[in-house]
Amino acid sequence: MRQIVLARIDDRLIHGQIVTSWCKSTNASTILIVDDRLSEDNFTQRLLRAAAPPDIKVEIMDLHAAVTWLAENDSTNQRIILLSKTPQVMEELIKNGITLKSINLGGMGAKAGRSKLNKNISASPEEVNCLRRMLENEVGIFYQLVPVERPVNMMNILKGEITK
Amino acid sequence: MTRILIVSHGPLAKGLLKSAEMIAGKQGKDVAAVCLAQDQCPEDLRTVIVNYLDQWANAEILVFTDLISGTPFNVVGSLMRGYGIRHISGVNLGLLLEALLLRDSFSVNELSKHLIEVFPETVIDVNALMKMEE
Repeated sequence: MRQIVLARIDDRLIHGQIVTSWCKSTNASTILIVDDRLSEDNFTQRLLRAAAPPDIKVEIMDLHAAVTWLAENDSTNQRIILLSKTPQVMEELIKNGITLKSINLGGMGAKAGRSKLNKNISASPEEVNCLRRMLENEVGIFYQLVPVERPVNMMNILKGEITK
Repeated sequence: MTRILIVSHGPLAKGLLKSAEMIAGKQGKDVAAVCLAQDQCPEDLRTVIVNYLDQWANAEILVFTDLISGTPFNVVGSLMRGYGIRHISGVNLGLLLEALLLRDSFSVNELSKHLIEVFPETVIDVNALMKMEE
């Protein structure tokens, strides 16, 4: 399996926190975005590639392609930051045999159908359930915007949140 | 005349515009600044920007953002699909002033090309510059 140095849920995908902080602290060489819709959106792919630092390779794949690609052996020792917009993508990757010991929760913006869990995280009931299922399956999920902040265990953020 | 929108993380855009007005004089409603607040989601920022772009639908538009790959950059970038805007990222006061002073004599494409040409001159190692003059 390829080496994942950070698995992050962040609906902004590639942005300042990723580029200036996480790429450096993880010494990443590659950003893999797993998103079924984006994998067919050439314009946004061009924008994301333009936004990444020149020394970082950007891969954009749908779930199926990502599972296959991540499971391959890698002789070039790429250090991969895995990004998805939602927790469901991470859950699907795990279900399909990709090992993610720990997931970083970096940003899920407020929008219709989501309620606020803290300042930067909003989630729909379905997303909350998905996060809970992963926690129950002993996948660590930690809220942390940038590496200099202390990670907060998602269990503590979800305490008191009623599962629907 | 080219309309100019400046979009930034936090208060930079409004501050830049105010500072530029100290030098270039008060600007009209065809120059605007939009500031992304710490807790504002990208969709919200998008709505504010779209509002300007729609108001300015028949004009040439230059949008400055503060930082490549930041949320202002990403939101403006995504709007390049639907709007015929020029987008320059990495704005500073020198660049903004150049744009304000020249926007009525150039088309937006000429203006953008010119700005990219003069951009290196807006960031100067003053020590190196002074040694050159010794």
